[in-house]
Amino acid sequence: MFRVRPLFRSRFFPPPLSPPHVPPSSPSSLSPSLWRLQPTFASRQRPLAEECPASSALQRRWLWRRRRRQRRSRGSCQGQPAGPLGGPPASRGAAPRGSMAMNYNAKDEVDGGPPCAPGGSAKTRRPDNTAFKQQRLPAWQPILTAGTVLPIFFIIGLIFIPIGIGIFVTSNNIREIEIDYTGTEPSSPCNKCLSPDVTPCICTINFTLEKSFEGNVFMYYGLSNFYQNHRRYVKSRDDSQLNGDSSALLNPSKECEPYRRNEDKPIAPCGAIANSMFNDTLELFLIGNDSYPIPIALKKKGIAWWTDKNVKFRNPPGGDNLKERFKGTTKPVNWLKPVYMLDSDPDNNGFINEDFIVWMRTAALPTFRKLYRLIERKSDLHPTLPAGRYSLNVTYNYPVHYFDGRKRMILSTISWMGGKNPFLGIAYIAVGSISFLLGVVLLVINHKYRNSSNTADITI
Amino acid sequence: ARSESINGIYFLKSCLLFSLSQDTDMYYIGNDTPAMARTSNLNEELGQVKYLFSDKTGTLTCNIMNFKKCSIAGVTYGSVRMPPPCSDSCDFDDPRLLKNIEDRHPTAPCIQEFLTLLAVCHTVVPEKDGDNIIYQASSPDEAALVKGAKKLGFVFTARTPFSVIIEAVSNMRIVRVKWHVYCKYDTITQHCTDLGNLLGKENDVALIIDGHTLKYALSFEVRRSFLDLALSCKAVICCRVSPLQKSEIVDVVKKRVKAITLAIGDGANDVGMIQTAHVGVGISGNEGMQATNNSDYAIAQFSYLEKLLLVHGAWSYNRVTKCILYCFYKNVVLYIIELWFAFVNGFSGQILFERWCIGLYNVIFTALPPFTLGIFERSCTQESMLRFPQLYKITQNGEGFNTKVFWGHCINALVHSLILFWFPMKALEHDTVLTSGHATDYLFVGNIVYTYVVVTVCLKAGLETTAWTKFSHLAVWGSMLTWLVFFGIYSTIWPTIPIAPDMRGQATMVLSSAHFWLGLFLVPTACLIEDVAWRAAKHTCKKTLLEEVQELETKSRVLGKAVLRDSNGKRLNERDRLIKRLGRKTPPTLFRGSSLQQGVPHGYAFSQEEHGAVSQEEVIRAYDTTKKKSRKK
Repeated sequence: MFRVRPLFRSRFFPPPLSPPHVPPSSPSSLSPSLWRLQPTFASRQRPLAEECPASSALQRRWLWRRRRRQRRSRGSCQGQPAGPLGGPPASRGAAPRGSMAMNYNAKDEVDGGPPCAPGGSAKTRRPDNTAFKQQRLPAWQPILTAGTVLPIFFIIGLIFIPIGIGIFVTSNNIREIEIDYTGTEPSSPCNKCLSPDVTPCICTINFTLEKSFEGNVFMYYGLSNFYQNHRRYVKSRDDSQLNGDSSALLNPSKECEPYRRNEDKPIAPCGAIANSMFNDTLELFLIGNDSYPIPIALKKKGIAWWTDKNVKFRNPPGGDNLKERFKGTTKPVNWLKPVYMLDSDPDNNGFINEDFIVWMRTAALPTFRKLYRLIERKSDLHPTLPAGRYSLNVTYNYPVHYFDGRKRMILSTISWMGGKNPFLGIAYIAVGSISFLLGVVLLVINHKYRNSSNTADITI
Repeated sequence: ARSESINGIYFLKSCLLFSLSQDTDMYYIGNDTPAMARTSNLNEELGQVKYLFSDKTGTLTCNIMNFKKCSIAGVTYGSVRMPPPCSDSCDFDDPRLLKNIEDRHPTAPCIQEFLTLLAVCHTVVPEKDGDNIIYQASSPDEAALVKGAKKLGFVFTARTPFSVIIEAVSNMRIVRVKWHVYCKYDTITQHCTDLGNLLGKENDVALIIDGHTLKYALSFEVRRSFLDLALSCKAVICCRVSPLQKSEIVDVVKKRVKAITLAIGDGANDVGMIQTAHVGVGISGNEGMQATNNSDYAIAQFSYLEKLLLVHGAWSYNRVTKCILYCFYKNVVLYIIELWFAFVNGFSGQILFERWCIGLYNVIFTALPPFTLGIFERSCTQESMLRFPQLYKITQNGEGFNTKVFWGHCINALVHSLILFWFPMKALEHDTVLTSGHATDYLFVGNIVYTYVVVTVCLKAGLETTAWTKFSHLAVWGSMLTWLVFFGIYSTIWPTIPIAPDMRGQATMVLSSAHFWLGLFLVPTACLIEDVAWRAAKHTCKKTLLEEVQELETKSRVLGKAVLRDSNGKRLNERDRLIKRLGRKTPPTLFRGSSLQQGVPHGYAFSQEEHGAVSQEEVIRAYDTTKKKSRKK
């Protein structure tokens, strides 16, 4: 294979056949090797224009093309430093090199030949010189060194520790009492209720508040070892049914299986969550000096999320009679009474019963609390629950002992950050301290290594 | 989620390729050719190239050969630096050489011998044009040597079938062609001297081997020892090699060393090696499209390879690895949380988050940070990358992505997920965090954790970012904001749009909880404080070259860009040199790569022909330029 064939010397140049037919820019469509010699040979070492008189128009055109190529490359090399390094183009066409280019320039202007400047063609593939495309977007380049991040660590420490102390103190000021009434211990008053035979079983537990509870007091029930977050449990509900959808009422979602239908009737509300609803009744009495228990007013409305009560849970449409609206359905198997008999108040009955709604929000952990009742503050002068002896009356319906569960009743006041939980305060203090400690470590590091730099590697 | 990440990586690579083709520094105005990437999955390999195979003629030299330097009897003549005014024929300008002849220096006979050899041993055909002699050479190096000899007074004037005629300094003598054998060696050595200069490497560590020898060196018995020898050299120069041998060398090296190889060439004879190497680069525009069409990257000038590797290669590697590691990190963080949750839900498979929130995690809420990391990240500026080629070692050795780094990120993610899950879980364990006293549910915890995850993961992306462009800000802060906005809207659509009933009302409750806001500052801080401290300590104790350069950049920006100006100055010098080189460029060989060549895998880079009935050499030797009258028309 010849890449360059020296046999064709310049006196035959340009060879008679191909020039006009060959577009110089497309090497693929060319007549083969005949042609390959020309650039190496004739193009630069001899004044070509003299030797090949531009007699025929075709030839001239061809010559022009060749020269344009040459001039282009020359232009880019000499006058156009923009090529490789992106600088501004300098005076192009200054001092064209060699006699040929001179000739060409002169003739071209006389003939009014086609324009052939390097950038002469309107469309160039030159990429846009924008900061975005050239990847020169202005950027902030933070450098993390011990010296620069030191203040951040100390500032975090100084901010977090006081916040943590504040939260911790707030949490500690919250009054909270927990009464376990599971009754697994033989001494417990509720021990008798463990047997399923005793119905209804009512037990009373006495307790003492050492300090009075001020402000609104919230009554919770708490369950332990109850996996409300189990996958099959969580999805075993039909939100359309609970939203009052008539078709879903009579044809609950398959997710509710195996608590979907009972005795060929659809269960309302269907599913495992509803079926396992907490149904103990808790009552609270203040035992005064004269051993005559004063009942504490427990408010049962307002314990559910507003959106749940007013948007998410709706009774099925129909007449005034709630029983009529639930016609054709049956109660969940474990329930003692149907859903339309949960409460006498029509605004707290059926699906919009707040105890039911609260239960339907499944907890994240197997030990959880749910809001049961509100004890509203009566006046500013008297504490809501003064210190003293109280008794808790439990109508014990909800069995937990067979899965080793526990049941609790919790009385709690609430601060701006919710109920009692020292964790967040401790965490703030801990993180703040760690940050402070890291700051000290970095300070030491900074001092130790400040002057040792291996800048020798690179020089400006 | 994994497939989303993978698609993301592909998209990212396409973006990187786009940025490569948009580089004006790699745009050659001469033939209106920008750099072009023809494959989409090799960006990071560009940053790991350890062995570079380059075609010489055409590619490296732009077909320009100059006689610049020579070594005769142990004395080196000529300077390495190119003198500013460059003539077409010869840059060689060392008066010592001629002076040594005149002064009867002990090496004078050697010098004369050398120059004689230069003048006679070649296949150049002289043409008389009045007083001028024009040398028609099949390869530019021969022409350069003959011109060099001419300049030094040993003028090659005519050729006959059995002799060549030269005019030496004082006397005319006819030298017979049998000298030819010596000459070849001289040519090669001389040629390699040129090449060595171009490569910027010391000649004494370069192994030089020609095609015939290579045939034996690559035979099975000695292949291994040849490779050991070759790999121990800084540079290996193979002369007069066939295309097949070119690709064979690449293949052998590729198999022997576990490193990325790159081949660059411009002609059809380089196609084999371009295809064999991991990364093939074609010089576009000069010698047809053969090399370009078979390459992974097409650039217009050999000199652009520097930027292709040092800037785009290293950047791409950095970006892709950072992006991959980050994608791993963020997914591990989120999904390991589900594992922690499994411990408290009886391993039932319940997920802590709402399903669409999980689904959109990689698609929307943390989609932008990997892209800004992958597209706009730059460890240091282009100028620095070019000024400190040592930086390429970082990517070359794969320091950005290896088992250690990978597991480091995984463990980091594990620790983060622990904090991200258990801190909120413990803070919310009594379900009584609302001022209204209402109890909360699992999704309440889930949404809080999810918010912390998004915030932490976005901030972590910020921590990984060394260059914060406006897009980085948009990605980091915008992602967090997007999630909050989505959260707000998503919590209100049931039952209007029948999805996400359990999300209904969540946003109001979560956002009104003091615990949420307190935790929002605590948890991400708790996660990232260790990262920041670790990085700062490492930076201070054991500064890497990269960090050194970064500091230098910052300093230079502060000191009125003194350093960069300096660097620009250097670039300008290089530019001058480049321009000069281009100025002497002969017009490129046109019309190569015809169908004729496509079918034939053989051929020589050096305008030599093998297996021909009549070799080119013989044809040239048959010339008799003294009889030119008879050939004139």
